[in-house]
Amino acid sequence: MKKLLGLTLAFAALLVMVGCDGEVTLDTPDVTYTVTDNGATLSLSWIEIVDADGYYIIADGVATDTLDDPATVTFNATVPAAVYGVQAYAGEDVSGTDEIDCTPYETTNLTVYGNSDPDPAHHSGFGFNTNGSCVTLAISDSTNWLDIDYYFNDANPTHGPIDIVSPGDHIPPYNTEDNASANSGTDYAGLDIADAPGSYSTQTALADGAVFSLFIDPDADGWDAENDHFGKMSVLSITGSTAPYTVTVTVAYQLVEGLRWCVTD
Amino acid sequence: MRKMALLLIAVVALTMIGCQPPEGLTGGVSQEAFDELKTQVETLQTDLDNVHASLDQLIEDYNALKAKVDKGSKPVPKPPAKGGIKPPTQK
Repeated sequence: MKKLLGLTLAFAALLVMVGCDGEVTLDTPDVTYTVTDNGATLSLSWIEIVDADGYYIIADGVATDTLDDPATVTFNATVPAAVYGVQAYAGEDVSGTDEIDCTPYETTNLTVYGNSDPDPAHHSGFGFNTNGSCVTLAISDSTNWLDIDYYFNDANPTHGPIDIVSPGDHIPPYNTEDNASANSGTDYAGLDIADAPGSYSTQTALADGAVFSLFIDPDADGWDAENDHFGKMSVLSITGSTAPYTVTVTVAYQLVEGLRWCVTD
Repeated sequence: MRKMALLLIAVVALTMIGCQPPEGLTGGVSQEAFDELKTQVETLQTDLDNVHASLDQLIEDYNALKAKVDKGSKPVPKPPAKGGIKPPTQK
Protein backbone atom coordinates (compact mmCIF):
# COMPACT_ATOMS: atom_id res chain seq x y z
CA MET A 1 0.00 0.00 0.00
CA LYS A 2 2.85 2.32 0.96
CA LYS A 3 4.54 1.47 -2.28
CA LEU A 4 1.43 2.40 -4.26
CA LEU A 5 1.10 5.69 -2.38
CA GLY A 6 4.74 6.53 -3.10
CA LEU A 7 4.33 5.82 -6.79
CA THR A 8 1.22 7.99 -6.92
CA LEU A 9 2.98 10.92 -5.26
CA ALA A 10 5.98 10.59 -7.56
CA PHE A 11 3.73 10.57 -10.61
CA ALA A 12 1.87 13.64 -9.35
CA ALA A 13 5.16 15.46 -8.78
CA LEU A 14 6.28 14.56 -12.29
CA LEU A 15 3.05 15.94 -13.73
CA VAL A 16 3.53 19.24 -11.87
CA MET A 17 7.10 19.58 -13.14
CA VAL A 18 6.13 18.84 -16.73
CA GLY A 19 3.29 21.32 -16.46
CA CYS A 20 5.66 24.05 -15.26
CA ASP A 21 7.83 23.66 -18.36
CA GLY A 22 4.95 24.47 -20.73
CA GLU A 23 5.81 26.82 -23.63
CA VAL A 24 4.85 30.49 -23.21
CA THR A 25 3.34 32.24 -26.22
CA LEU A 26 4.53 35.84 -26.42
CA ASP A 27 2.91 38.54 -28.49
CA THR A 28 5.16 40.40 -30.90
CA PRO A 29 5.81 43.96 -29.72
CA ASP A 30 4.14 46.61 -31.87
CA VAL A 31 6.96 49.10 -32.23
CA THR A 32 6.48 52.76 -33.03
CA TYR A 33 9.24 55.31 -33.35
CA THR A 34 10.10 58.95 -33.25
CA VAL A 35 13.26 60.61 -34.51
CA THR A 36 15.08 62.79 -32.04
CA ASP A 37 18.44 64.37 -31.35
CA ASN A 38 18.63 66.25 -34.67
CA GLY A 39 18.13 63.00 -36.53
CA ALA A 40 20.80 60.98 -34.73
CA THR A 41 18.48 58.86 -32.60
CA LEU A 42 15.64 56.53 -33.41
CA SER A 43 13.48 56.34 -30.27
CA LEU A 44 11.55 53.07 -30.18
CA SER A 45 8.56 52.34 -27.98
CA TRP A 46 5.98 49.59 -27.59
CA ILE A 47 3.35 48.29 -25.17
CA GLU A 48 4.46 45.87 -22.46
CA ILE A 49 4.11 42.27 -23.51
CA VAL A 50 2.26 39.92 -21.14
CA ASP A 51 4.45 37.16 -19.64
CA ALA A 52 7.63 38.67 -21.09
CA ASP A 53 10.80 38.65 -19.02
CA GLY A 54 12.27 41.40 -21.15
CA TYR A 55 13.14 42.42 -24.69
CA TYR A 56 15.91 42.01 -27.17
CA ILE A 57 16.89 44.91 -29.41
CA ILE A 58 17.82 43.59 -32.84
CA ALA A 59 19.97 45.70 -35.19
CA ASP A 60 20.50 44.33 -38.69
CA GLY A 61 19.64 40.84 -37.48
CA VAL A 62 21.90 40.87 -34.42
CA ALA A 63 20.71 41.21 -30.81
CA THR A 64 22.67 44.22 -29.65
CA ASP A 65 20.90 45.03 -26.39
CA THR A 66 18.81 43.22 -23.79
CA LEU A 67 16.21 44.96 -21.64
CA ASP A 68 15.61 42.63 -18.70
CA ASP A 69 12.74 44.57 -17.19
CA PRO A 70 9.45 43.82 -18.99
CA ALA A 71 8.14 47.21 -17.90
CA THR A 72 10.87 48.96 -19.87
CA VAL A 73 9.18 49.61 -23.17
CA THR A 74 11.36 52.27 -24.80
CA PHE A 75 14.78 52.20 -26.35
CA ASN A 76 16.85 54.95 -27.88
CA ALA A 77 18.77 53.54 -30.83
CA THR A 78 21.83 55.67 -31.40
CA VAL A 79 23.92 53.25 -33.43
CA PRO A 80 22.85 53.52 -37.07
CA ALA A 81 21.54 50.36 -38.68
CA ALA A 82 19.51 49.56 -41.75
CA VAL A 83 16.85 47.69 -39.78
CA TYR A 84 16.00 47.93 -36.07
CA GLY A 85 13.69 45.46 -34.33
CA VAL A 86 12.31 44.54 -30.92
CA GLN A 87 11.63 41.01 -29.70
CA ALA A 88 10.08 39.94 -26.38
CA TYR A 89 11.52 36.99 -24.50
CA ALA A 90 10.51 34.78 -21.59
CA GLY A 91 13.13 32.27 -20.55
CA GLU A 92 14.15 30.51 -23.71
CA ASP A 93 11.07 31.60 -25.60
CA VAL A 94 11.03 34.59 -27.91
CA SER A 95 8.31 36.43 -29.75
CA GLY A 96 8.33 37.57 -33.30
CA THR A 97 10.31 40.69 -34.18
CA ASP A 98 8.71 43.96 -35.17
CA GLU A 99 11.08 45.90 -37.38
CA ILE A 100 11.59 49.50 -38.44
CA ASP A 101 13.19 49.63 -41.87
CA CYS A 102 15.71 52.46 -42.14
CA THR A 103 17.38 51.27 -45.31
CA PRO A 104 18.07 54.25 -47.57
CA TYR A 105 17.02 54.04 -51.20
CA GLU A 106 20.06 54.01 -53.44
CA THR A 107 20.25 55.32 -57.00
CA THR A 108 23.52 54.42 -58.65
CA ASN A 109 25.46 55.96 -61.53
CA LEU A 110 23.32 59.01 -62.08
CA THR A 111 24.76 61.42 -64.66
CA VAL A 112 24.18 65.11 -64.03
CA TYR A 113 25.57 67.98 -66.11
CA GLY A 114 26.74 71.42 -65.11
CA ASN A 115 24.18 74.11 -65.87
CA SER A 116 26.48 75.79 -68.41
CA ASP A 117 25.91 72.82 -70.71
CA PRO A 118 23.90 74.12 -73.68
CA ASP A 119 22.29 70.78 -74.48
CA PRO A 120 18.72 70.72 -73.09
CA ALA A 121 18.90 66.92 -72.92
CA HIS A 122 21.78 67.22 -70.45
CA HIS A 123 19.96 67.70 -67.19
CA SER A 124 21.53 69.81 -64.48
CA GLY A 125 18.98 69.28 -61.73
CA PHE A 126 17.92 66.22 -59.79
CA GLY A 127 15.27 65.34 -57.28
CA PHE A 128 14.07 62.50 -55.08
CA ASN A 129 10.73 60.81 -55.59
CA THR A 130 8.51 59.78 -52.69
CA ASN A 131 9.88 56.24 -52.92
CA GLY A 132 13.40 57.62 -52.55
CA SER A 133 14.56 57.10 -56.10
CA CYS A 134 16.47 59.93 -57.69
CA VAL A 135 15.87 61.34 -61.18
CA THR A 136 17.59 64.04 -63.18
CA LEU A 137 15.56 67.07 -64.26
CA ALA A 138 16.02 69.71 -66.94
CA ILE A 139 16.28 73.10 -65.29
CA SER A 140 15.35 74.73 -68.60
CA ASP A 141 11.85 73.29 -68.22
CA SER A 142 9.98 75.32 -65.62
CA THR A 143 7.50 72.49 -65.04
CA ASN A 144 10.37 70.63 -63.33
CA TRP A 145 11.28 73.36 -60.95
CA LEU A 146 9.13 72.27 -58.00
CA ASP A 147 10.72 68.80 -58.13
CA ILE A 148 14.33 69.96 -58.14
CA ASP A 149 16.16 69.18 -54.89
CA TYR A 150 19.63 70.19 -56.09
CA TYR A 151 21.34 71.38 -59.25
CA PHE A 152 24.95 71.44 -60.36
CA ASN A 153 26.22 74.92 -61.06
CA ASP A 154 29.25 75.47 -63.27
CA ALA A 155 27.86 78.62 -64.89
CA ASN A 156 28.49 80.91 -61.93
CA PRO A 157 29.84 78.73 -59.11
CA THR A 158 30.91 80.35 -55.88
CA HIS A 159 32.97 77.60 -54.28
CA GLY A 160 34.63 75.43 -56.90
CA PRO A 161 34.63 74.81 -60.62
CA ILE A 162 31.27 73.16 -60.10
CA ASP A 163 29.02 73.35 -57.04
CA ILE A 164 26.03 71.43 -55.74
CA VAL A 165 23.44 74.11 -55.05
CA SER A 166 20.06 74.41 -53.38
CA PRO A 167 17.24 75.25 -55.82
CA GLY A 168 16.27 78.14 -53.57
CA ASP A 169 19.65 79.80 -54.12
CA HIS A 170 19.08 80.34 -57.81
CA ILE A 171 17.93 83.77 -58.96
CA PRO A 172 15.08 83.48 -59.68
CA PRO A 173 14.56 80.53 -57.30
CA TYR A 174 13.50 77.23 -58.82
CA ASN A 175 11.46 76.60 -55.67
CA THR A 176 11.47 77.58 -52.00
CA GLU A 177 13.40 74.60 -50.65
CA ASP A 178 16.49 75.24 -48.61
CA ASN A 179 18.48 72.10 -49.29
CA ALA A 180 22.05 71.84 -48.18
CA SER A 181 25.10 69.65 -48.46
CA ALA A 182 28.35 69.04 -46.66
CA ASN A 183 31.60 67.43 -47.72
CA SER A 184 31.87 64.29 -45.54
CA GLY A 185 35.14 62.82 -46.74
CA THR A 186 35.64 60.03 -49.23
CA ASP A 187 34.24 56.88 -47.57
CA TYR A 188 30.75 56.38 -48.97
CA ALA A 189 30.11 52.95 -47.43
CA GLY A 190 31.54 54.08 -44.12
CA LEU A 191 29.29 57.11 -43.86
CA ASP A 192 26.55 55.56 -41.72
CA ILE A 193 25.13 58.85 -40.54
CA ALA A 194 24.94 62.14 -42.41
CA ASP A 195 26.56 65.17 -40.87
CA ALA A 196 24.68 66.94 -38.09
CA PRO A 197 22.81 70.17 -38.84
CA GLY A 198 25.16 73.09 -38.36
CA SER A 199 27.81 71.91 -40.78
CA TYR A 200 25.85 72.33 -44.01
CA SER A 201 25.85 74.93 -46.74
CA THR A 202 23.38 75.52 -49.55
CA GLN A 203 26.36 75.66 -51.95
CA THR A 204 29.26 73.23 -51.78
CA ALA A 205 32.11 72.60 -54.20
CA LEU A 206 31.99 69.17 -55.80
CA ALA A 207 35.14 67.10 -55.91
CA ASP A 208 35.94 63.90 -57.74
CA GLY A 209 35.80 60.96 -55.30
CA ALA A 210 34.27 63.00 -52.48
CA VAL A 211 31.24 61.98 -50.44
CA PHE A 212 28.61 64.49 -49.41
CA SER A 213 25.92 64.53 -46.77
CA LEU A 214 22.60 65.79 -48.07
CA PHE A 215 20.06 67.70 -45.96
CA ILE A 216 16.74 68.25 -47.70
CA ASP A 217 14.67 70.89 -45.95
CA PRO A 218 11.56 71.67 -48.02
CA ASP A 219 10.15 74.09 -45.46
CA ALA A 220 13.46 75.93 -45.09
CA ASP A 221 12.92 75.91 -41.34
CA GLY A 222 15.88 73.91 -40.05
CA TRP A 223 15.81 70.34 -38.84
CA ASP A 224 12.49 68.64 -38.07
CA ALA A 225 11.15 65.13 -38.32
CA GLU A 226 8.09 66.06 -40.34
CA ASN A 227 9.32 66.38 -43.87
CA ASP A 228 13.09 66.77 -43.74
CA HIS A 229 15.18 64.05 -45.28
CA PHE A 230 18.84 63.16 -45.27
CA GLY A 231 21.04 61.21 -47.58
CA LYS A 232 24.51 60.87 -48.93
CA MET A 233 26.07 61.27 -52.35
CA SER A 234 29.26 59.85 -53.76
CA VAL A 235 30.88 61.67 -56.70
CA LEU A 236 32.11 58.85 -58.91
CA SER A 237 33.60 61.08 -61.59
CA ILE A 238 33.80 64.61 -62.90
CA THR A 239 34.74 64.82 -66.55
CA GLY A 240 35.75 67.87 -68.54
CA SER A 241 38.77 70.10 -68.20
CA THR A 242 36.59 73.19 -68.23
CA ALA A 243 32.88 73.84 -67.93
CA PRO A 244 30.53 72.34 -68.87
CA TYR A 245 31.38 69.40 -66.63
CA THR A 246 29.73 65.99 -66.53
CA VAL A 247 29.30 64.45 -63.10
CA THR A 248 28.39 60.88 -62.23
CA VAL A 249 27.08 60.23 -58.74
CA THR A 250 25.52 57.56 -56.57
CA VAL A 251 23.00 58.79 -54.03
CA ALA A 252 21.23 57.24 -51.05
CA TYR A 253 18.06 58.76 -49.60
CA GLN A 254 16.72 58.05 -46.11
CA LEU A 255 12.94 57.64 -46.25
CA VAL A 256 12.42 58.05 -42.50
CA GLU A 257 11.72 61.75 -41.99
CA GLY A 258 14.42 63.56 -40.09
CA LEU A 259 16.64 60.52 -39.59
CA ARG A 260 20.26 61.04 -40.59
CA TRP A 261 21.20 57.37 -40.80
CA CYS A 262 22.33 56.13 -44.17
CA VAL A 263 23.65 52.59 -43.77
CA THR A 264 24.09 51.10 -47.22
CA ASP A 265 26.16 47.98 -46.65
CA MET B 1 -1.80 74.64 -173.18
CA ARG B 2 -1.55 78.39 -172.89
CA LYS B 3 -5.20 78.50 -171.86
CA MET B 4 -4.52 76.03 -169.14
CA ALA B 5 -1.62 78.15 -167.81
CA LEU B 6 -3.70 81.31 -167.83
CA LEU B 7 -6.52 79.55 -166.07
CA LEU B 8 -4.12 78.28 -163.40
CA ILE B 9 -2.67 81.77 -162.87
CA ALA B 10 -6.16 83.17 -162.58
CA VAL B 11 -7.10 80.58 -159.96
CA VAL B 12 -3.94 81.31 -157.94
CA ALA B 13 -4.58 85.05 -158.13
CA LEU B 14 -8.18 84.64 -157.05
CA THR B 15 -7.13 82.38 -154.20
CA MET B 16 -4.59 84.93 -152.95
CA ILE B 17 -7.08 87.70 -153.14
CA GLY B 18 -9.66 85.56 -151.34
CA CYS B 19 -7.24 84.79 -148.47
CA GLN B 20 -6.56 88.44 -147.69
CA PRO B 21 -8.34 89.44 -144.45
CA PRO B 22 -10.82 92.22 -144.65
CA GLU B 23 -9.56 95.67 -143.82
CA GLY B 24 -9.23 96.25 -140.04
CA LEU B 25 -8.69 92.57 -139.35
CA THR B 26 -5.39 90.89 -138.40
CA GLY B 27 -5.34 87.19 -139.12
CA GLY B 28 -9.07 87.17 -139.06
CA VAL B 29 -9.25 88.77 -135.60
CA SER B 30 -10.09 92.38 -134.94
CA GLN B 31 -7.30 94.58 -133.57
CA GLU B 32 -9.34 95.21 -130.44
CA ALA B 33 -9.80 91.52 -129.78
CA PHE B 34 -6.16 90.94 -130.56
CA ASP B 35 -5.04 93.59 -128.05
CA GLU B 36 -7.33 92.13 -125.41
CA LEU B 37 -5.92 88.69 -126.05
CA LYS B 38 -2.44 90.07 -125.87
CA THR B 39 -3.19 91.67 -122.51
CA GLN B 40 -4.58 88.37 -121.23
CA VAL B 41 -1.49 86.51 -122.39
CA GLU B 42 0.74 89.06 -120.70
CA THR B 43 -1.29 88.71 -117.50
CA LEU B 44 -0.98 84.96 -117.68
CA GLN B 45 2.77 85.35 -118.18
CA THR B 46 2.98 87.51 -115.08
CA ASP B 47 0.90 85.01 -113.09
CA LEU B 48 3.14 82.19 -114.25
CA ASP B 49 6.23 84.12 -113.16
CA ASN B 50 4.62 84.62 -109.76
CA VAL B 51 3.84 80.89 -109.48
CA HIS B 52 7.45 80.11 -110.36
CA ALA B 53 8.68 82.47 -107.68
CA SER B 54 6.31 80.93 -105.11
CA LEU B 55 7.45 77.44 -106.02
CA ASP B 56 11.08 78.45 -105.68
CA GLN B 57 10.38 79.88 -102.22
CA LEU B 58 8.44 76.74 -101.25
CA ILE B 59 11.31 74.51 -102.35
CA GLU B 60 13.75 76.65 -100.45
CA ASP B 61 11.62 76.47 -97.27
CA TYR B 62 11.18 72.73 -97.68
CA ASN B 63 14.90 72.17 -98.05
CA ALA B 64 15.62 74.25 -94.97
CA LEU B 65 13.05 72.30 -92.95
CA LYS B 66 14.34 69.00 -94.29
CA ALA B 67 17.88 69.90 -93.32
CA LYS B 68 16.62 70.67 -89.81
CA VAL B 69 14.72 67.41 -89.55
CA ASP B 70 17.64 65.46 -91.01
CA LYS B 71 19.74 66.60 -88.09
CA GLY B 72 17.55 64.21 -86.14
CA SER B 73 18.47 64.12 -82.45
CA LYS B 74 21.08 66.79 -82.78
CA PRO B 75 20.01 69.14 -79.99
CA VAL B 76 18.94 72.67 -80.49
CA PRO B 77 21.22 74.68 -78.24
CA LYS B 78 19.45 75.89 -75.13
CA PRO B 79 19.93 79.48 -74.12
CA PRO B 80 22.85 80.10 -71.80
CA ALA B 81 22.14 79.63 -68.12
CA LYS B 82 20.22 82.67 -67.09
CA GLY B 83 19.81 84.09 -63.69
CA GLY B 84 22.17 84.56 -60.85
CA ILE B 85 22.86 82.99 -57.55
CA LYS B 86 22.29 84.10 -54.00
CA PRO B 87 25.01 83.91 -51.37
CA PRO B 88 25.04 80.47 -49.73
CA THR B 89 23.33 79.83 -46.41
CA GLN B 90 24.94 77.86 -43.60
CA LYS B 91 22.69 75.56 -41.65
